[in-house]
Amino acid sequence: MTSRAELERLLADGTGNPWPMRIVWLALAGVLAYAAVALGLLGPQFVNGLPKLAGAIGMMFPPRGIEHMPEFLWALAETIAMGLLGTVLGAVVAFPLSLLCASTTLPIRGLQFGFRRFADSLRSLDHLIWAIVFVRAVGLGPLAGVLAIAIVDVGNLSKLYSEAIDNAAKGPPEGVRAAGGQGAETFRWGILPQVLPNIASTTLYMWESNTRSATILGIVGAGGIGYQLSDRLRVYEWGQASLIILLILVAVYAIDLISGRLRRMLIEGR
Amino acid sequence: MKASVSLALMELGRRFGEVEAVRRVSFRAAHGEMIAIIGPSGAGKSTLMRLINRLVEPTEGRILAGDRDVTALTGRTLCAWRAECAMVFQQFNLSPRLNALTNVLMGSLQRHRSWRTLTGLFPHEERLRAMTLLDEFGLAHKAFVRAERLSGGQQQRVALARALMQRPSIMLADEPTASLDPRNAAQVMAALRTINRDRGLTVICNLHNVGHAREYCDRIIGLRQGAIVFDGPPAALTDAAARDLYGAEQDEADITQATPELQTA
Repeated sequence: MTSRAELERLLADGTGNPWPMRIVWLALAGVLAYAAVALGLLGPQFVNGLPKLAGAIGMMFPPRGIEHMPEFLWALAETIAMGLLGTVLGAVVAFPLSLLCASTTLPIRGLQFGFRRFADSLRSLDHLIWAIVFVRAVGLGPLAGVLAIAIVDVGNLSKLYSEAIDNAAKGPPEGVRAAGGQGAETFRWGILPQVLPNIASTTLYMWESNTRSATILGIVGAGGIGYQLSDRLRVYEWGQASLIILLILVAVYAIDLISGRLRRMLIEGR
Repeated sequence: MKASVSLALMELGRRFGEVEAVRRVSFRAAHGEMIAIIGPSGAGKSTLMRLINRLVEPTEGRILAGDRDVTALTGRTLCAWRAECAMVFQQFNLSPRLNALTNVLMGSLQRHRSWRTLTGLFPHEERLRAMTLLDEFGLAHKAFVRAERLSGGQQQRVALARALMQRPSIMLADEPTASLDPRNAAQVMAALRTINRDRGLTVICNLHNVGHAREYCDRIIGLRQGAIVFDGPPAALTDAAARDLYGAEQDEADITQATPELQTA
């Protein structure tokens, strides 16, 4: 049994000085406040702009341009295909790369570090920038979009896959190794069954996200519905633009729904 | 410490779809009694325990604590009842990333306003009380160590301190020793017995270990397929009665039949 004074001392020691942490929070609040003022979030530019936003939205009603529907639907299909093909291409390359980025499958620190930085650099640039680069290389059209999506996905997915691999439970692979399994067999039967649902679910989520990204790539000339949209906005066809936006909403919603279903099936096995 | 209340279960039942996990269970637990509930896996022991503190809602029957109808409690009064019948678990159920002291302080949630409990600004007296309880279990020097970095035996003792922090009148223990080695298991059982004797708490304890039930408890209740099939003092639980309770799958006959095959294989 410890004395009350001794317990008080242990309590005070363990709690420590709260001031350093408080100062960090205060400094953070100061930086945020400064940024909000400097960037106009708390200024007249924002307040006066709000009514004009209502005006811009008002011009979009009613949606017009039903006669262009076949053209729009074709462009939308192109966008969806861009997202799907880009995701699949990205995933196919990302999987082997993830094995080189995970410490479980590549225990050589220096090499693994190199592959990780390579993957980081692929995803550190946005789709839009890659699309501009690829439009230069392969010309206008959806191919540039597919490549832009794929290359960013290689970066994103290889990181997410490798984290799933490293977070897998160590027991099952130990079981396979103890049964006489070699490296590849240990991965195939000890780790892969554990991470497969996670990998599939991550990839499906990326597909959702890429469909949204693909809509914007058209603006820099990578084809699809985004090209149609930026074209209508350029000539102030607000009604047609709003029809396109509605189509995008429906398509993205439908893909979210399908992908959500598939993910639940994979994770819960039903 | 509140006075111990007597607890009465009346025709208590819980059905999960087609499965009747607990059926028409009735018993009365006297003030300060220590009761073991034993039975094979899937007999409904854990469900029964969770019916008592309403972590699982009963589909039939009633629970009375003194003159209160526990089955009718809602909202804040239900939370107060849960605080009054503290529970410890097989897997300890501590918050792994929080330190031992904070885990123990969870036992005082019911006594404070939400601005305190949500910001973690517990009064100094409570923090000291949590320290004192940790010290009772020999863990004062681990107060600022994360729960996940403690051994199983230490975690279960932190869980006991959290339970006592609630100032309970009843202690529910769901397989408290099943994840522990024999030495730690005996320590936890002894601690429960001490809590029962010194503080006069009613203790209801699910056990896999019939030996522990005999050694530490005043009364044994045997559960099979959700229903009570034995209720009496340890002396009345003969070996034959215990074997009957666990059914044929654990019979010696089965084991001796299986062994030669294993040896020839």
